Amino acid sequence: MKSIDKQTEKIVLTAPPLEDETLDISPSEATALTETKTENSWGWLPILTLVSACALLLLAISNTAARAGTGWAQPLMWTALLTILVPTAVRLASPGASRNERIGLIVMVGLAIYMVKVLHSPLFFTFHDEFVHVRTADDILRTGHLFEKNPIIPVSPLYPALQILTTALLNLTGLDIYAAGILVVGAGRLLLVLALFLLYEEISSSARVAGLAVLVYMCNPNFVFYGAQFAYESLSLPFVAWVLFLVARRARLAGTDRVMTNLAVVLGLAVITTAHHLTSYAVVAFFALWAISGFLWRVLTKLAQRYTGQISNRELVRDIAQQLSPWWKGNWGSTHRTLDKSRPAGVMLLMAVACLSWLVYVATLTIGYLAPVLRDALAEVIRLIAGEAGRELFKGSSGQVAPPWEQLTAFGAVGLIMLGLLFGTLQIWRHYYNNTLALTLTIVALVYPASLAMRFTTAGWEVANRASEFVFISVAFIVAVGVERVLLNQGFKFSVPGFNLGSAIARRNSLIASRMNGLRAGVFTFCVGVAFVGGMIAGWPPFARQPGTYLVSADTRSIEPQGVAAANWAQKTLGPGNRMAADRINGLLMLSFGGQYMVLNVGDGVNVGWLFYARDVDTIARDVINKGNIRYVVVDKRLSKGLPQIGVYFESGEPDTNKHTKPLDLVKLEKFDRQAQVQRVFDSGDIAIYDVGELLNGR
Amino acid sequence: MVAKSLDLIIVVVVAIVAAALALAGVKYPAVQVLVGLPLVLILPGYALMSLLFTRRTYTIAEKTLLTIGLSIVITVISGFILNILPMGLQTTSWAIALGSVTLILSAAAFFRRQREGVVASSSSLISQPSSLSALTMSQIAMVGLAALIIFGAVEVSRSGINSEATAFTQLWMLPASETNQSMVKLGVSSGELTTTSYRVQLQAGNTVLKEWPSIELKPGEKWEATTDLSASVVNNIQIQSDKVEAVLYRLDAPQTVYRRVTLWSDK
Repeated sequence: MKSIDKQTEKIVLTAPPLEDETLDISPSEATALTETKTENSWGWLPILTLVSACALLLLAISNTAARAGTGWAQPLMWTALLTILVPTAVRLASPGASRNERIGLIVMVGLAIYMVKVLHSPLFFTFHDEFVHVRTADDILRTGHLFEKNPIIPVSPLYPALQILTTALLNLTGLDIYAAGILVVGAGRLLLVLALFLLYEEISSSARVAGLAVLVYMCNPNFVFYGAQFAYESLSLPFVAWVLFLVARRARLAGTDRVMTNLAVVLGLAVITTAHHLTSYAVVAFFALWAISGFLWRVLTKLAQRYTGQISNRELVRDIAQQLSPWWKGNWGSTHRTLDKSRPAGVMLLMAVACLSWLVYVATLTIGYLAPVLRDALAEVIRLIAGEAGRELFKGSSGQVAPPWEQLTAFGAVGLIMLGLLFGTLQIWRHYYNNTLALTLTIVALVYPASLAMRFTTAGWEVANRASEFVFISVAFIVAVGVERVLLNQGFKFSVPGFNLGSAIARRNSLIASRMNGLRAGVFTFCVGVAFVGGMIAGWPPFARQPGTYLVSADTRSIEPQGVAAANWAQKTLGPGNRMAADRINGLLMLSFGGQYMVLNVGDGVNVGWLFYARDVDTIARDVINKGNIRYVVVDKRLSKGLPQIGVYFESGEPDTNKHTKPLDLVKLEKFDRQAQVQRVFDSGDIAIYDVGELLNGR
Repeated sequence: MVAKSLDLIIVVVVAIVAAALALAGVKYPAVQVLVGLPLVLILPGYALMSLLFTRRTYTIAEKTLLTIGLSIVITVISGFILNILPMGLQTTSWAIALGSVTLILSAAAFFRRQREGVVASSSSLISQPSSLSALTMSQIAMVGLAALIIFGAVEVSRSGINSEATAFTQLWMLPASETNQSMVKLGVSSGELTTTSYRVQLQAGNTVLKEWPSIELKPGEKWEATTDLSASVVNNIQIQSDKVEAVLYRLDAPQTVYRRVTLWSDK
């Protein structure tokens, strides 16, 4: 039935398994059997852990230098990142590493790269979305209950799984919200890399392919920062991998184990449903695709059999009917191989019902929240196709252009991934043609080239960038299969047919083979390095990759102690829940650290940008104050010192959104000092807080 | 049989200790983290995994995955259940919920193992130390050194945050209460890098109503004072202006206004 090819570490199935029979050997067991270094199965892991730790220390030094505006900080950052990645890539490409070592390496690298984000913001959260989710967690702590209103992202409290976990940890450990948050997201990161490894191993039956695939996954543009932030995707995505692994695994299980695995799958789906809207919809779509592709594959197989005369018309109709009749049992994804019993249709139906129920009974706001984002992205893509001007690549909102080497590396990364996809797809077709999960991953990987086109639009860029974390689950596997089959697994032999060239030639062959293997590993490592650096360049603007001196409206680079202290002062002195108007950055700080209610277009239909753009406290300004029922206004004088790095000072819809050419006028910001009855209650140098309550009608 | 379920006994003991510490309100951060962290991220999932998967031999990686994943699942579902109860999501309810769930699942796993004659080795993380024992002393030393270096990296990164560019001082002035508008509260907080001396003046127009000539604050320190503006008189000086202003000077630059806040006196 089964044997193991010791050279390729693959399970070779010589006949299909019987129905309802559990295989007595798993891919993990199979690869474990082929391990050559059982005496010391951790191999290079300890030394590479030490190397990565030293690289993190270099990165910390680099971050400190970047805060002082030193020029060598960024080269040192890239050096540190590649020091983490390159040695591990070399080892994972090597055939000599054991399964344990490969798992240890991908866990170590996954967590080391997570530490990159922690070292970026070591005292408090600094990423835009993090503040919104911190506010949701704060509300849970304050009220003891879920679903409180969040003025910036209204759907955040409606998907509270991350915050439930964080507040549980906070309550039981006494940690603050930052420490609890980084532990929770760290646990998610561990879960993600482990689940991906086991999923890829389950499909490929190779620990080597699995290790390479996880490494390629780490090259997605959002792995370093976006996927490591305190946001709902950081919990939902690991559970996608978790569920996929369990569904793939259960195909080989029977009896109680299968029932229990089903239960674990259902529990995992529950977490995804309550953790993140788009992830849950993506899961439904993926399982639907898996089910449909499985069904189509089966039908095509039968048609081919009919075409070659192996079956009659009557048998063809009967077989197709058999495929359709038990659809409710989830047999759509059936093939005759080990993934026969994955039954993705059942999972798809279950998840669809769960999503719909959650949407209808709990999270109805989600439609209104997501629709404009998707509509804008679609409209921009259509305009792009029509030939209208789109987004200029490598150029920031403040006019900063990425240096040529960054542009070249980013294009190189895309090119290498496309090449990997090409070779990988061919290898999938050759070696996994009857594995419906592998075929489904291949179809999903085709989204990657399409998503590249979306990067030419402003709204589409955001959608494409965020989607990369999901799409790369497929891309990574396809590329890894291509790399392993085409690049790393070609044995080198020098021989003359019919002649025994003797032991000298054999030794020479061995030497050349060894050097060729080293060369191949070197090529792979170089490609991974380019893909990783290029991914970071494509996914994250230059100013946000490291901490540094203050920049205007630059999210992470605008979060600094003065703003945090002002928000803390507001919480303690003014009390929480005051209706406030502020710029984007101080709004985030007041929302999270300050516990204030920020008046915004998304929550109140009032764009406070117009209040700040007025030269005096005129009719427009008073109108905004009254419509928003605003009590306090936070003014940051630094807005007059530069263009907004992310395109807006306040929020989308303000004057000159994404088209600012000159900084905000200081005279406009100081208008409240010239206005009678407006109290200037707080001053910390750059930031002032005004009480505008006397301007409200009816007072 | 009990000896073969040593893993579950450890789980139960840690869960009880963690829940008891939380319920007793013990405030020893290191101890809280040491037992609280497993109660959320490890113990419930481990107990559930032991209950669900007794037969198959899983590798350490798979068990770790199931343990953490199931723990998160249980915590999230518990959160939703606690939300519909009056007590809500708070320390006491979390300790009771996760503690009791862990105990119940551990007991169920123990009895399932007994009934099916399963030994701990097939489902326990604790009984699979073979891979860990493959680490040599030098390798353990390397991993330990790596942990120390990472700790150092975090400290280096943290130390770089406060610099001259981020130093600041806060000044504020508010009515002392909503009901008594004539009493005002003044405050100064230092976010400077070194001890700094200040002077605060309360002014109405060009008249200095009150002055605090020397306020010395270390980094992070705060100064507060409450003053009565009633009857428009402070220190026998008649207030001429509608606007009262508090001005802060640094003593190392006594002529330059460093911070300024205002209050309209009729408020």
